[in-house]
Amino acid sequence: MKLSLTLCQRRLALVWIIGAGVLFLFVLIQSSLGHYDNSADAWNWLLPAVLPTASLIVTALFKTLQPEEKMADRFLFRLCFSLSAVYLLTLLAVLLLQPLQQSSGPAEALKHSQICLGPFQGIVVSSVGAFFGQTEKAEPLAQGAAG
Amino acid sequence: MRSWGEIFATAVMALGLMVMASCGPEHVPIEARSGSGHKKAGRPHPVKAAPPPAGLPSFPWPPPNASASEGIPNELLAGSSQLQSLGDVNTRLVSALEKNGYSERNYYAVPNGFALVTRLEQIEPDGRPKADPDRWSPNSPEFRSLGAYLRALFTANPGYYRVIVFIVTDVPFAESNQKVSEEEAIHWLQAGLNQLPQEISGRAYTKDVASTALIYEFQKEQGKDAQLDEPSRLGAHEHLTHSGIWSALGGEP
Repeated sequence: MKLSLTLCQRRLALVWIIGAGVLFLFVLIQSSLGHYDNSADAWNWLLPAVLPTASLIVTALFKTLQPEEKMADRFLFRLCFSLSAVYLLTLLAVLLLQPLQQSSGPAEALKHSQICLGPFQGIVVSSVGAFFGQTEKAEPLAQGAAG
Repeated sequence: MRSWGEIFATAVMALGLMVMASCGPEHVPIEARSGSGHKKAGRPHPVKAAPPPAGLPSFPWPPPNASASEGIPNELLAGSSQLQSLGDVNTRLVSALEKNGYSERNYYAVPNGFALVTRLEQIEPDGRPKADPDRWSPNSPEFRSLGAYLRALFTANPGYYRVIVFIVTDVPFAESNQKVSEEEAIHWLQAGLNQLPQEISGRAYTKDVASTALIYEFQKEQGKDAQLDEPSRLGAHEHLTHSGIWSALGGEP
């Protein structure tokens, strides 16, 4: 089953922009209220975790503004969408669970999370990349199913 | 011409005077050499310190540097009654402490008096004790409300801990430069005696006896060791007022 690539990319972009925006706002408030000894630790954790994928998606979004309509595989889109959503929710969970970790400080908790987030991010970036690579010309029969 | 006897007698007298003169400066009154052995700046008259009773451990002397300290006026301690002995002072302090939930306390010897140490308690930023069971827990409190969780999520939200030490003695003292750790403060409650020995409680109360509250306040941030607040964010009077001890002694806030 094929879906409109433009539609898929816009949905993915929406998830990433909202997710990254919430995380950005969260860390901004924490930094402003003195939650971290050194707020650079928090930004050093958040920006590499979000920016590469977000940049890739935004770039692809502007590239597909051309009139040529392309199609994407529905499974790949769903996989990419789910992985992205779970990844962003995991980042949010790391921030939300900070107060419960008494053995380590907030910045240390972020550092510890990178151990498991690194491979996860790799999978997400790969799936996003693969999704944008799996594009082909629109098929007249499949267009009705898109959306 | 003098006889040999006169010369000998004069020589003996001169020798005796020399011996007395050379021994003179070392004849210091015994009171000046006794006492606690710590420096007391501007102390006009040395006070003879009695040895502590056997079995009663001594509080570090001079006391380690406190976050804040305040002398409790003798009139306030006496209240409507007459203080006759150090035991009376202890009774007044214990009564004020028990009214405010400080049921665990320990006694130490200090020169010519005693130190009464309360258990390490967790306090609010304004000096009020936290509600049980968080009050007596050395660990950070559990989140009992959404507000507490959000505070911990977005702000530094340090935990505050306090130990109050009452020093009752007629020996003037200055705090030492020693910085006490949270572990040492916790240990104070384990090493002292649970009752004030009769040898100390029976000692007569005089106008020279001063009662001083030393506040040791610790601040603990998430994932870090507690650090002594030096000086305290709050004054000693605020600590005593917000703990309820001051009003229990009959003082006005």
